[in-house]
This record gives sequence, structure tokens and C-alpha cells, in this order.
Amino acid sequence: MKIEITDLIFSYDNLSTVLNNLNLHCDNNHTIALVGASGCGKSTFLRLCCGILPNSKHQSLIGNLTINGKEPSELVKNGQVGFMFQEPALFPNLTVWENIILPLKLHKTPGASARTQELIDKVGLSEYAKFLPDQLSGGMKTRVSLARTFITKPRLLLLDEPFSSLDIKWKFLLYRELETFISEYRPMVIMVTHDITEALLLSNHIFVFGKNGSILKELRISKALPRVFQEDSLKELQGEYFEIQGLIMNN
Amino acid sequence: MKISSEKRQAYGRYLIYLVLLVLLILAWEKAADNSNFRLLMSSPSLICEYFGENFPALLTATYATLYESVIGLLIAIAFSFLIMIICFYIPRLMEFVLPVMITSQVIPLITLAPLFILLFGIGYTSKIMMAALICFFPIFINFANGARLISRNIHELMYIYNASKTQMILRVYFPLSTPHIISGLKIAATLAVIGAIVAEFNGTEVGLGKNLFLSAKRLEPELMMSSLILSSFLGGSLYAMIYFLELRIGKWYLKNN
Repeated sequence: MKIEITDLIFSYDNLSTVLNNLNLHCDNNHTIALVGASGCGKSTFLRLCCGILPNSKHQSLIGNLTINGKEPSELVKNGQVGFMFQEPALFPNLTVWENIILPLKLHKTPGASARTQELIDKVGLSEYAKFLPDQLSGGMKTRVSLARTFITKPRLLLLDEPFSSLDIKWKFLLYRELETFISEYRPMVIMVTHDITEALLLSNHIFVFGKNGSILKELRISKALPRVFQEDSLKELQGEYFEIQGLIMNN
Repeated sequence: MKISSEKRQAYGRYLIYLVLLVLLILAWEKAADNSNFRLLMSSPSLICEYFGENFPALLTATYATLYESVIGLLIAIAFSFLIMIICFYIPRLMEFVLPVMITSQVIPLITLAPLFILLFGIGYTSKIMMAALICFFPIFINFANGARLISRNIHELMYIYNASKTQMILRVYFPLSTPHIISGLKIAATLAVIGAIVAEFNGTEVGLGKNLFLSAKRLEPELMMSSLILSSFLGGSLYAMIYFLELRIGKWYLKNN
């Protein structure tokens, strides 16, 4: 998987520029994190990466954005993209099982039930298979969303702050689950987050976004993944943490 | 066997309703001792007597109104669903349809009843069309509102899963708009009976509307009261039908309420 973004500009009415002259090149097995203040265009960028243009008239997109040399929408058509939203985006009328199996059912994929059972076991929700989303806690809902995202074995995984509403305990449990899934299925991951710790723990390539939608800094984290439950991870990455924090605060 | 406190409270409430109803009937019976009151409102005992004597005729009238209301309601459901489905396939169409629908509501629909009699004759068709017309708007507007309120994330998720329009309609628009559709149906169910009865006022061979119209002309309070009770029963039955439908298909949102 290779992502190529050259001179990308996205604006509304040619006045309000959301993304400004972005250049980004990444190869296989990268876990990319996009960090920055609210409203700097991170989520817009993530949506552009899968061909969703924000629902607005008079928008213009200039530049080049290709994944494996193709338009992002091509990947979506081939079922190679997984997306986790800030909210779990579960269907309230479907049970946990039905929510997880949904992507496979839409395309009548053979072996859907066995795969769902495998995923539901992995996220530890077998006992809750018949529960409706409203009967689950926030962490459980995110787990369902995680299982649903990986059921299609995506090659490109887009994460839009999926853990932002969880407490620290749930966050770390889900980081571990996410790491396990990533190491098993090896997708390219692009993650949007406000949480610098999250970016440092889960990614090996961090882009700090500035207020005007441009990239302020590109950092490569040399420490090997996975690193969520390595004791010294955060201590070793303190320098990067303060550098990113300083960039965001001063921008 | 233990009865839960919630059930006990519910039974207590039903008992209060029953007692109030009995008190109302007793008060009505007592008030009917006054001949002037009896001439206008009749009395429960006289109405029961009238029911017994004219049961077949009342049943025929009730059946006619029920038939018109139910068919009218079904046509309204089919038509509003059809327009919504077309709008889902051609989203821009909604920009034209919605203003037309809202503007059409400026016309007091019941004033169209005489026109419908002229257009469709004195038979069932004019009443069915009237009931359908009056039911259409609440179903359509509630469905449109429900579909509009579906979260953007769900739309984007279905895009990521490369879902077709048909899958969107069957798996997103219809199921996630169910609470709104049911609200529209509940309003429409009672409106259907009103539509049919108002159309019957303007001319029909048989129906509760005709009974009500004639009873006012001839000052027959027993006919009026029995027809009123049967009309209420029809409206209530149609509402209950939608309520039971909701219990079957709306478990996912009723559980929270």
C-alpha cells in the first residue's frame, strides 16, 4: 500500500482553505498519525483519503491524492477500506452480532458467520452477541466498531479519533486490541487524534497539522511497534511529546 | 406469585380509569332524567337499547367506514413510501417534492370532500381518496424527517461498505426511520377515519358519517351517540393496530423508553 499526496488544496468557495498545499508520501506498513488542534482539517483529510467529500456545495479539490496509484474511491469499491468514526456508528436496530456481520452480509460474502464468531471472540463480546448497542457501555460499543472494521480485512484503515470519548483504562485496552489487529492484518493505518500519547504509542509516522491546514512537521518514530504495553515507551518518547505539544500550542 | 411494583402501578392506573368511566356513565344516566338533556344527549341505557335494536344496520355502517379508512390509509402508506423511495434514488427530487407537499397543506383538505364526490361519485372511491389524501402528509413528512435525521456517520459507513441504493433503503432509511414512520402512522390512523367520515357527510349510501349527518338533521340522539361511539372505536382500533405493529418492529427503540 502506497499513499501519494502532492500539492493538495481543499477549500470551500475558494475562500476558506481547509487543507493547504499538503505533501505526504508513505509506503507499506506505516501507521500514520495526524495530530493538531481542532478545525485544522485532519478529519477532512481522512475523509478525502477514502473519497468522501464533505457534504457541501462549492468545494474545490486541487492536487493529487492517490493510493496505490488509484483514486481512493477505487479502494472503497474493492472493499479495501476500513473506517472507525469518533462515535462507534452502530446501527441501533441491530444486535452486536448483526452489526459486526453487516459489511459481509451486504456483499453476501461466504463464511460470514464463522468470521463474525472469530471477531466477536477476539473482542471478548461473545456473551453480548444478542445485545443491542444501547445496552452496551461506551468501551463495548467501540469494541463492536473495531470488530466490524476488521471483519472485511481492510488494507487501508482510517481512524477518526475512535477512542476520544473513552476513559484511560478502556483506551489502553482498546489500544492493545487495535495493535493486535494491526499486527495480524497489517493494513496501512491513518489515524486522526488529539491525543499526543495515542499518536506516539500507536504510530511510527506523525504529521502535525497547523491551523491553516498545512503540515507543520513530519516526525518518524524509530522505536519499533507494538509499544502500548512496553513500560518505557512513553518515557523514551518524552522529547517527541513535548516537541509536538509545543508545535500545536505555538501555532 | 409476586407482582412487580411497575405492574401494580399500571393496574392501579387502569382501575382509576375504569372507575372514572363508570362514574361518567352514571352521571350521564342521571343527567338524562332531565328531558331536555335526554333530547340532545340521550342516555347510556337508551343508547344500549338502540344498539340492540339496530345492530345489523350499525354494523354495516361501521364496516363501510372501516373499509374506506383502512383502504385509504393503505393507499396513503403505499404512495408516501413510493415517493420517498423515488426521492432516495433521485435525492434532488426532494427539493421539489417537499415544498409542493407543504404548500398543499395550506388547502383545508376536508373542503375538498364535495369535489371528490363530484370526481369519483357517491360510492366508496371518493371516501377512500379523501381518507388517503388526509393521511398522506403526516406519513410522508415524518418519514422524510426520520430519513433526514439519520446520522452522517451511518451514511459514510455505508459508503465505505460500498452499499447500493437499494441496500441503503432496506437497511438504513426504512429501519432507522421506523420511530418517525410509526409516529406518522399513528396520526394518520385517526385521520383516516376523520377523512372517511367527512367525505360521507357529503353523500353516501351507507356509513357512520351519513348516520351522524342524519341524526343531527332528524334530532335522533341515540343514532348520533351510537355513531360517535363507533367512530371513536374505529379510530381507536386503527391506532391500536399501529401500536401493536410498533411493539413488533420497534423493540430496539421502545426498550429505551
